[in-house]
Amino acid sequence: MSAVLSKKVCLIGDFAVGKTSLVARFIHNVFSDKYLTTLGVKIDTKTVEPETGVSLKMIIWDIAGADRLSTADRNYLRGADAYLLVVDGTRRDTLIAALDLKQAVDRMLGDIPFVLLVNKSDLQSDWEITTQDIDLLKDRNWAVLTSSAMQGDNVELAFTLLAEELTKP
Amino acid sequence: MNEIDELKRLLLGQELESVKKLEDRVADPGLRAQDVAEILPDSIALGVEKNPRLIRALEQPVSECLKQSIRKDTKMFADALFPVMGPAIRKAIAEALKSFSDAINQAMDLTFSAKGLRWRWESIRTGVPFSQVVLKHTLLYRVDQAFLIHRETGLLIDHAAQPDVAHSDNDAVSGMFTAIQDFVRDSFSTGANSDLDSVDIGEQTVWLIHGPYAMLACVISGVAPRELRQRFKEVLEHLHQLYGRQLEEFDGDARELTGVEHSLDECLTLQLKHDAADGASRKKPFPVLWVILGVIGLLLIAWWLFDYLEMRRFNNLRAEIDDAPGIVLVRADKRGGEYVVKGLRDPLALDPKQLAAAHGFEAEEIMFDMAPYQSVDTAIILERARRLLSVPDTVNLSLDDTVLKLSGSAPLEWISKYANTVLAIAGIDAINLDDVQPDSSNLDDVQPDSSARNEQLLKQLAAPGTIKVVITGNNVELEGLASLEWIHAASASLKAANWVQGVDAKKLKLAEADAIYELAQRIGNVKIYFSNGSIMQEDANQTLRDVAEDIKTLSEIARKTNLNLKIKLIGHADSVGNSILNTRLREQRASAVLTSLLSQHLDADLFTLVVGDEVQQVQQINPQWRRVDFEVNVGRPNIQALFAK
Repeated sequence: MSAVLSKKVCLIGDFAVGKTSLVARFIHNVFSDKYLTTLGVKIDTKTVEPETGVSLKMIIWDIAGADRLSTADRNYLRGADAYLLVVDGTRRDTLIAALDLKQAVDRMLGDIPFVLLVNKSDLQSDWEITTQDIDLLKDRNWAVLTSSAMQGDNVELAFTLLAEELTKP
Repeated sequence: MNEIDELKRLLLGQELESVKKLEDRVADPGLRAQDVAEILPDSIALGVEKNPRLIRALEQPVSECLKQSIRKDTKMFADALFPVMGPAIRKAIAEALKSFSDAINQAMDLTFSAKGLRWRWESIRTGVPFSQVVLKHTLLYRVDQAFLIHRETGLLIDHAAQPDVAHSDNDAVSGMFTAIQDFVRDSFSTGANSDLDSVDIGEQTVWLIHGPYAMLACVISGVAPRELRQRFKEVLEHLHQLYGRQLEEFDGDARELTGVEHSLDECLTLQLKHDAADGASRKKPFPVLWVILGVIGLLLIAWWLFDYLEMRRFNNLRAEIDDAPGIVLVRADKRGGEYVVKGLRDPLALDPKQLAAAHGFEAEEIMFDMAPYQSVDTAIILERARRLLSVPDTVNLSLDDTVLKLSGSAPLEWISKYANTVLAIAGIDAINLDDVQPDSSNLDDVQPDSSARNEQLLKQLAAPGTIKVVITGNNVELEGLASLEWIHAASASLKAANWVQGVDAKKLKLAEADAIYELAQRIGNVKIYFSNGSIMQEDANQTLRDVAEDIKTLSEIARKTNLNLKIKLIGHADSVGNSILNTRLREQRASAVLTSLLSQHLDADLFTLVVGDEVQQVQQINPQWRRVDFEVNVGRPNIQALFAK
């Protein structure tokens, strides 16, 4: 059954945190990655069927990495229903950037569903972000998942969590 | 009236009455309805002008009213629509025919023209289907796809595409349109409200039409006129009018926007190159089409001509059959592709199949259904008579009313055969042979017929075993013992047979000859004795009666057989007395017997009185001599004479 409900989901995070790699294996690729460097955004879609039972087509806007939102980024974010905030576990500054980004998004879009992905769990030995850091975030009732674009860990789960949030009656 | 009421009346006075009137007016539904009826038309007119919501509010109930009304009385609507439907249908048919004609023209053009071949080669070379190559070259423009995109989120609301457009992820494409739009605006625009209007990509152009809540993106192949943009704008405006709130509040659920797809389908249009060209430069249909139409026309004419000629041939045949004596035509026409001739036909009439063959028809081309009957057409009657009567060729036949008149010459036997015939031939009551002359020269010619003729004669003669009949040519020889009766019958038959020229009956013996001689002998033996003078003895009367009977029988036979019967009555007397007296007595005695016999009704010619010889002896009384003797002479029967013609 094709989805009748579609939602705009944005992928945001600092440069080279692995946003594009994260979704590459799980998402139907329509456009080349070069759009990211030219337009600053690449759009793909993914249909998920969360346990809430409503089939949902997620229009995923993969926004080029930056530690703060440019005007263009703001335009791309406009009307987003949810977002994935991605940080690189091996780079602590990406978490700081992510927090800034979240703050900006909150200001722009209000309190909308999001999931924070601490990426590159396959390189956990090199991580600068500690479990204490993560717990701290979790304490604030944030949905935080560690993920690996390489191994595909938790990527699907992250989208499913968002889908469940978006299709809550 | 209580105190408060009294106070009210004092304080309010006249006003209270007005209020009371107003209250009554409001309480009365009839008056209220009247009031509303008065202002309703103006109210609606004002609402339509000032408040678009009124239209939306009325849309549903009016639509329901119409539905219910149509369901109730379909005929009324059919009547109301009738004047409109005719022209509409005519226009639709005209349009369809025009498209069909154009399609044929184009197909012919492409199939046979050098251009068509070139495009086919291009299709083979590039692997692109021929239809697409044709489209590419013939299309002035075509709207391939239309996207209705939510302006804020970039989510796809709905999408429509031509059937041959490759499927892609329209949601992603829709997002990218928005992204590109944002990107371009951010990168190059100076004003916040300036939007991207169109994007050119090779042979395609994307036109972006912006509305308050949604954007219409139309992907166009070829070069579209500016007017098309206006049309897209109208579509988008219409959508905003219909779905303003839903578009504004769109949250990714397209179910609230059913019906949008029809508007998007309207955007998908195409214009072929020759449609855009004006009438003067418009290409004429390729000559091959005219050639084919010409050939079809010629074939039709040839078919019609063939049919016409064949029908004329058949009509001629029909007239000829109709005119033929002995044929009554009931019907002759073409039914279910087959000629059918039905009627009555005398077996002596012309065979219509032969006539048909003479007119060039094959046997199986015409179905004949001819029932037999007897015709009274003069020609058929004459032919019938000619056959039945075996009329010789030398005789001419004609019909005078119902009398068959014959003229010419014919063998005598043929003439005599039919001279007194009563004919049993339809249409003839009598036969007239007065003008037919016997043809003697034909006598020999009848020889071939002799056996039948002889046969018939022998049959007629019915000769008993005692008789031998020999027919030699036209002569008949009879031999043997025949009864008088047979001889008479044979004589009649031979006389009737005209061809018989001679009859030889010399060897024919009369079967009754013995009886004749016996009678003659008996008569000859009779002696009538006289007692004295010329007075007969007593027993003489009886003897005379007996002999008279015998004579009668014999004379009858004699008459039939041509016998010359003569009976001599010889008177005798004894020698006593005078010789003269005695002679006289002899005469008297013979005469007395004759008188007696004649009294028995016998013919006097039969008898001769004879005076007997004088007895030359001594005179003595001898009663033996007082008598009359009978001498009978019958001669020979002349049978030959009986066969004389």
